[in-house]
Amino acid sequence: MLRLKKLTIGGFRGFALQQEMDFDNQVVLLVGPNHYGKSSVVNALEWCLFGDACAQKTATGISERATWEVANRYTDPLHVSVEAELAEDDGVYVVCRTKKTVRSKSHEKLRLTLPEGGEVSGDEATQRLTRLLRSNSIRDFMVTVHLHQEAIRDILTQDPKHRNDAIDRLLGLSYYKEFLLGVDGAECGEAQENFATEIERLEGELQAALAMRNNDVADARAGAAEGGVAENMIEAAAAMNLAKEARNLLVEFAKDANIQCPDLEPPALSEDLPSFRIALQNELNRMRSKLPEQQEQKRLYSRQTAITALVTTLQTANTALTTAKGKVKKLDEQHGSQEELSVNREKLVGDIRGLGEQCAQASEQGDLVRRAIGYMAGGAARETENTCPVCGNEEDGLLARLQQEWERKFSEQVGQMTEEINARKLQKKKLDEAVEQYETLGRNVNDAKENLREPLQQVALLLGKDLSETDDPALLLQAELNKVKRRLGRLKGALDRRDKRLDAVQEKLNKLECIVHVLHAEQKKKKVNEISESPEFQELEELRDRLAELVEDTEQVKRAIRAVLTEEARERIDAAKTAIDGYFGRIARHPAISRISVQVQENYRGQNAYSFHDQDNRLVTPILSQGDFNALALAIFLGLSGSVGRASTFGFVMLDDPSQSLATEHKEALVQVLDEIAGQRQVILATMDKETDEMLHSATLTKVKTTYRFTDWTPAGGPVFGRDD
Amino acid sequence: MKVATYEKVRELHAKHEARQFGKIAQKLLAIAFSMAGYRQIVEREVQGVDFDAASDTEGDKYAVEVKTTEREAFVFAEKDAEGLGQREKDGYRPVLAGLRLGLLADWIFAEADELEVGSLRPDQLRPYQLRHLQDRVRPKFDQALEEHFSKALTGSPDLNSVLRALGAEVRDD
Repeated sequence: MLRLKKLTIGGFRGFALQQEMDFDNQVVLLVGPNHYGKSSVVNALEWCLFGDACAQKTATGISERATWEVANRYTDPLHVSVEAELAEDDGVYVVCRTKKTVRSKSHEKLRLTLPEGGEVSGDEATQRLTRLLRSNSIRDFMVTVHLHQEAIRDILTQDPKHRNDAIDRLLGLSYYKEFLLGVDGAECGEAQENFATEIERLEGELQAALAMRNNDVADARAGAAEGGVAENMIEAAAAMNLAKEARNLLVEFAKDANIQCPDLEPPALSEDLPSFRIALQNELNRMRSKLPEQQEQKRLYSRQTAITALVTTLQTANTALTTAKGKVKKLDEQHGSQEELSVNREKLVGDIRGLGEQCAQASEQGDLVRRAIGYMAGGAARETENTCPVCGNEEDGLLARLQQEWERKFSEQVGQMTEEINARKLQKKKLDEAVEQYETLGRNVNDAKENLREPLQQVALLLGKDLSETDDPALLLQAELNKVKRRLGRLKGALDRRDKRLDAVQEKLNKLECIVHVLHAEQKKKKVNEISESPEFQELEELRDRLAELVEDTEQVKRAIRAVLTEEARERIDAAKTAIDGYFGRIARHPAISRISVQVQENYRGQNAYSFHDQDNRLVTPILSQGDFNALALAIFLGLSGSVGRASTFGFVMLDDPSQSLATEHKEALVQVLDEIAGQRQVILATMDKETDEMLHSATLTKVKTTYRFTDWTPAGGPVFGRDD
Repeated sequence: MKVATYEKVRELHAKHEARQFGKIAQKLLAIAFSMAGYRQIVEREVQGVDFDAASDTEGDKYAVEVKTTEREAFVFAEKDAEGLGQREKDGYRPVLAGLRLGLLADWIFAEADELEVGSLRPDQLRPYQLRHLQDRVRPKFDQALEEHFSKALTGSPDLNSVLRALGAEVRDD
């Protein structure tokens, strides 16, 4: 057990200058009013042992410590130094912690002087100090060594979890608690859950992939059924046989059809079926297009088309010629013939010319008569008008009569001749039109004959012979067409037989394609299977097994630790129960509680749960006053710290104003109790209470004491204290 | 678990209500044990541990409680543990056989006397796996399902016939 021998404090909180205090007696009292630096003494020891953790709320559980200033704010430069001499069984350790703050940056150092001589610092000093303190944390220290009001609250007035934790620590079980926290901190269970979640995620993806593959297989199978593939055919061996059969049929066909066929060896592995099927299909297509009968059929279809076209062309040309000739014939019927028409026309031309001349003669005669009459009318006397110039006969109004008569006769004659001429001209016009028609029709006939010449040449070419006058090209063509049709008919039969054989191959290939499709889809589905059977997945499973074993092992370790935790708690409480009962009875003097007991049970979380009962095994916490709580806290603290004995790390307890809210008789009892405890452990007690101070110095107390009296405090100088000797 | 097995198990699960599916899984597993060489089978439909399986030649005897789940955990009830405890007194090694209905899951045969009663995740069974038994029986379960799937689809009575044909005793009282 560690015992405090000496403290040297400088620059720490209330301490400005470096000051020494010896803790060389079993009881060390720090007496003085508030704010004179008493608490700084016990806090300095905390800081020396645990560093800045004692100024943290999370580490100490005390809210006020969140704003703690470790360094004395009135000194400059800020330099904190606390040195503690601690005696252990193997000798004296000197722990020295310093902290310098330069330009807002703090540099903390730890140095440990060992009993055997020598000194360690830095990380090694930290490790050695942790071992020396047996891994007790600042919080452990505060509830097992340093009793202050916050610790009392932790034990009795906070929630059960904190109380249980505090009592666990009070019992010196913090090592197990830290171990449990460490095991939990490894988060093996969480890792296992994450592992399982990841596997399930993978499983979900695989199941989705499997569903897709199943759909593909179902579609492929439906296609196969539609393609006439029986269910029992859908397997690799059947597909191989089918491929072989198709291949044999094709080779045999090629031989029969005298078509060259490449080597088509059936595949040895079903994986090669798809490529083999494609090769067979290509070969089949090639053979179908290369069949001699098919070539001939193509040629004959082409000839049939050409003949049919030629027949049409010929018919068209013949029709045109016949039509033209028919029109000529019709003209001949009207005009005899073209020659006759020409003669008639010439005659008409002559008639017109002759009538024209006659008419001109008549006109000349008339002109002569007109001039004679004019003469007569112009130069003759009255009497001459009545005398005929030819015969000399006189006749009244002869001239006028002759003039009228001539005019009448001449007009009639010329009129008739003109009519004649016009009639002839009309006839000639019609004949001119007929001549033109003859000419047009003649050209038409010639054109039709010309149009017929090329088809006839084509017919000759197609038939391969010269056409004689007696040949009827249409009949020849029809005969040739019939011949071609007969040959096509014969070819069709042969081709149907060939096609039938190739169709049989095609059918097998179609079925093969369906099967290959299904097999391919099933192969893809098998990939899902392969994942769960892969070495990688098996390795994953092994890892999962190992993780599960690790988790189970850690759970067992935790269960074992908890069991030990509970068992040790029971043992220690059993060992302290009389002392706790005695201390409580002596300090509290509660009229209703003649006996108090602490019980411990493992709760549903595997943690220790403490409860306090009276002589009738009833819970007492509901009936305790604040003073009773303090008395109970002191009883537990003192009872346990007294009973822990050498198992405890620290051989001293520090109590900061333990007598607050206690009545005089309670204080007296407390002092008596502390005197007893001092028989086992060093007691360091700070108090501002004069009554307690007086009681502690009563002659009835047996232990040797060192008393430091704090009489003043200044910012620049720190506490002023002196030692009673 | 093989894809084919998984798909068949899923089909059975979809076809039958939960309790009936559990019974069918139990009988198929008993058939698998028989096929794996544990010829002495006593299968119980109603009361007691689901089935006992013992080898004629090797002398190992198992009392098997069968649990299936499509969720995260099996329910290992107090009465299951008690039943297995009784069989253990008769010299049978108590086994909890758990099957999660997942593509990446398979039967886990765990030493039941190591397990705590309550809800158990498959991972909690893993530390106590009887690997040799798993290696021996898992493939036979695939085979049993393959061979007797149509009977499993129709229900328990047909599987009882299979079990009886294999020389198993089927108790329905």
